[in-house]
Amino acid sequence: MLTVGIDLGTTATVIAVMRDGKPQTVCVDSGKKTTPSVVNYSEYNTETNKITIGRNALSKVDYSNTIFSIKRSMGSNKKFFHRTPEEISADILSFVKQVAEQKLSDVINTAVITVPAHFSDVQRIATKRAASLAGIKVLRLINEPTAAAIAFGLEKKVAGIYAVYDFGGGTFDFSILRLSQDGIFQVLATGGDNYLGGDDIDNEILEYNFKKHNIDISSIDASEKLQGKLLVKTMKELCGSNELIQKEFFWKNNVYLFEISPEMLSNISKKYIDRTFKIADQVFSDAKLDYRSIDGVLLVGGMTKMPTVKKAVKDRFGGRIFDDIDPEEVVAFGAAIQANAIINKNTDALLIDVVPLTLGIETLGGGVDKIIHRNTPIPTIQTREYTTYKDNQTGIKFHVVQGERTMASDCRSIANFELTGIPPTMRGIPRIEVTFSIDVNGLLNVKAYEKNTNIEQNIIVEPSSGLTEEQMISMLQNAMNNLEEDKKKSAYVSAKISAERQISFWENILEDIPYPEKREIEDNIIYLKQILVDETKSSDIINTINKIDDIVGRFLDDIISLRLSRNPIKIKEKKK
Amino acid sequence: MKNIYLISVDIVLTRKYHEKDMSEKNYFSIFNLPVSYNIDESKLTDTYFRLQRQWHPDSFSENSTEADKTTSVDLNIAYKILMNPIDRAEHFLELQGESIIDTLPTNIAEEMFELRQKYALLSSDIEKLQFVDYIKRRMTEIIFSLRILEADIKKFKDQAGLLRFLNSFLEKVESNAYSGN
Repeated sequence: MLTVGIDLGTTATVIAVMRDGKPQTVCVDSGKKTTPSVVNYSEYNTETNKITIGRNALSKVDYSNTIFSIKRSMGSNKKFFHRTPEEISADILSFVKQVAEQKLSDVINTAVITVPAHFSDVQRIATKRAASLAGIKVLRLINEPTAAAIAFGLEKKVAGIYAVYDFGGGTFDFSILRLSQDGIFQVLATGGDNYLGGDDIDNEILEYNFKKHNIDISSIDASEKLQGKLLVKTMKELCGSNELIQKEFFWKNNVYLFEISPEMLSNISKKYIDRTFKIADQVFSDAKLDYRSIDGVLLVGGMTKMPTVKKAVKDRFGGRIFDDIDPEEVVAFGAAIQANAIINKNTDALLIDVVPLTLGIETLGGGVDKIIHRNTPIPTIQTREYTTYKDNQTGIKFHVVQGERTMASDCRSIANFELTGIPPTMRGIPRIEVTFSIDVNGLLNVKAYEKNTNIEQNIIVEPSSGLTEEQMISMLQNAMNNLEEDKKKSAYVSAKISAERQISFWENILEDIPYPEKREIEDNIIYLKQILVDETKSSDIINTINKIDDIVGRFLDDIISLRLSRNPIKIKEKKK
Repeated sequence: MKNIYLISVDIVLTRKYHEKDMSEKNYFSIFNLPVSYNIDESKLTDTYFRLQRQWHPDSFSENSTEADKTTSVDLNIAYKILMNPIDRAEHFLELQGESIIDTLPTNIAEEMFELRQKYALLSSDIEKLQFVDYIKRRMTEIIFSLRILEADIKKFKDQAGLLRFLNSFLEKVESNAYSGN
């Protein structure tokens, strides 16, 4: 029985195993360290089940039945050739598992699988499921940058604070970790973008070349575009420091000369590298550290092999760059080391990771009550107490969201559930306790119960249906870009809520108000109701509320005593 | 007219706390520390690591009990709170049966008022950056003063209140600065 580490990457998958206390990659695809995460289904049918994976899938002439970058769809309910992203990932995992078993002459039953630090809860669960479909028991899901740090740490055994710059084909992650003398890895802060990678650069180079030859991009079908992209990718890897790379692209019986110059490559890359630095700066600020306080930067991911990227990182952060472990293998190495440590209860390397994205609950008016903040060490538990908003409210809907934005609709929806059967009573009386707990895999469990009656609702978060591509946008990035918009929205929502509250209050007491003021207030309420639905009118809403307040203020004391005598309100004693 | 912000979720937050009521828990004692604001952070980290090695779920077999898991959780929560100067001040006060109050003495209220006014008058980015720097320095000063003030709970409370104000003010200033460019 063997345990392995698997880096299930967007563009390539790597499997590693411990041999004589050292991690080693198992070359499962044509003797190469990496297996392209590519699956071809052209010969697939219910009888044969024949699937082609890796380089063999790449060598097919026709890409119309081929899946690339399935990792980007993990956690969605899309289907490709009637297969879910989990099943397609399972096909890749089964392939590497089977070939590795032949090579190692042993059975693989457990593994540590890595995921991008920024993978959401839903994406993590999908990854776990893919593994179990492939017959692999997941010992632990660990974050890719953390895995890389473990691999480097084992080599160096030098205590200090390190940054991990992980720029892959599809995703970017940046983490800052502390390595203690006795081998504890403590993640201090992490950040990233699930939609930023080498793919973006390839696309741009491809578009440039299409444009140069006056080829209308919309006239090219998906399969041909992929051929072009692969060509560009090979050229990009060949492109050294001072030569122009040219290759022929065949399309509709014509030959087009595609080209990449080092200058053009560095110009295009710059834009994306700058985006990675913006994320890195946020992580430094979250960790309350500056560039000088780190002892080195570990380079991870295929993109960091590019001289332009390497130089930019070095110039930016100063200090030392660690790239002595192949950036494509290092994540799988860390996974193998961790898998071995868990199986042997060898806690030499202990890993304390953090929550990558803030988790919260949608509250009144579409805002988010942030419950577990990003960069909180896991495992962790947090509890909140909520109450009802309306009299006789017997149920509460919970909407769990993940992200940094202030409005729930801008965050990623994680789960919906309801707590029902609350006995009808006045608002504010029920006491609903909501507990969020996150385990060592970064998976969330939510529990809600009403304390007076012990009604309970427990959910383990499952991938919710109906996730769309738009929802899978990178949320942290957006949070930073949309602060201004968020502020406007929150201002409107809070204005709207207080207006709604006030309207119902004033309408209730209207009959107690003397004539001239009554008329004035009525007019203002009518106006308020008109502008209430207009998101651009938040300051107008507030002004109107204040105006009514002023009018009410003239005889407020009288009204309050009137109200109290008619409908006595019990004021709860303040708890000490 | 698209109005997407319906009040769809009818809940109101009343209270936040950790797994057990925070007032029942003494996070200093988890790390065998005396209840004092004045802690050695690197020593705390060492203790935290030592205890996590003992209690982290990875150190256990699969049939580790719920209680084992809770200890690791408690360590994480306690560490995070004690490492944060503001949370630590609040927890310290809670253990004395006190809390940071929102009404502050005049001299401190005046300092806050002046800062707000000063900020409103800033125009250039450099001035704003210098202002952020100033607030950060002021916060460092207060954290330092809290370390010696803990015998005088009243003064401690005032300074902790000022620290909390500066922190939320800083967040606001920084987010304005980011969206401005």
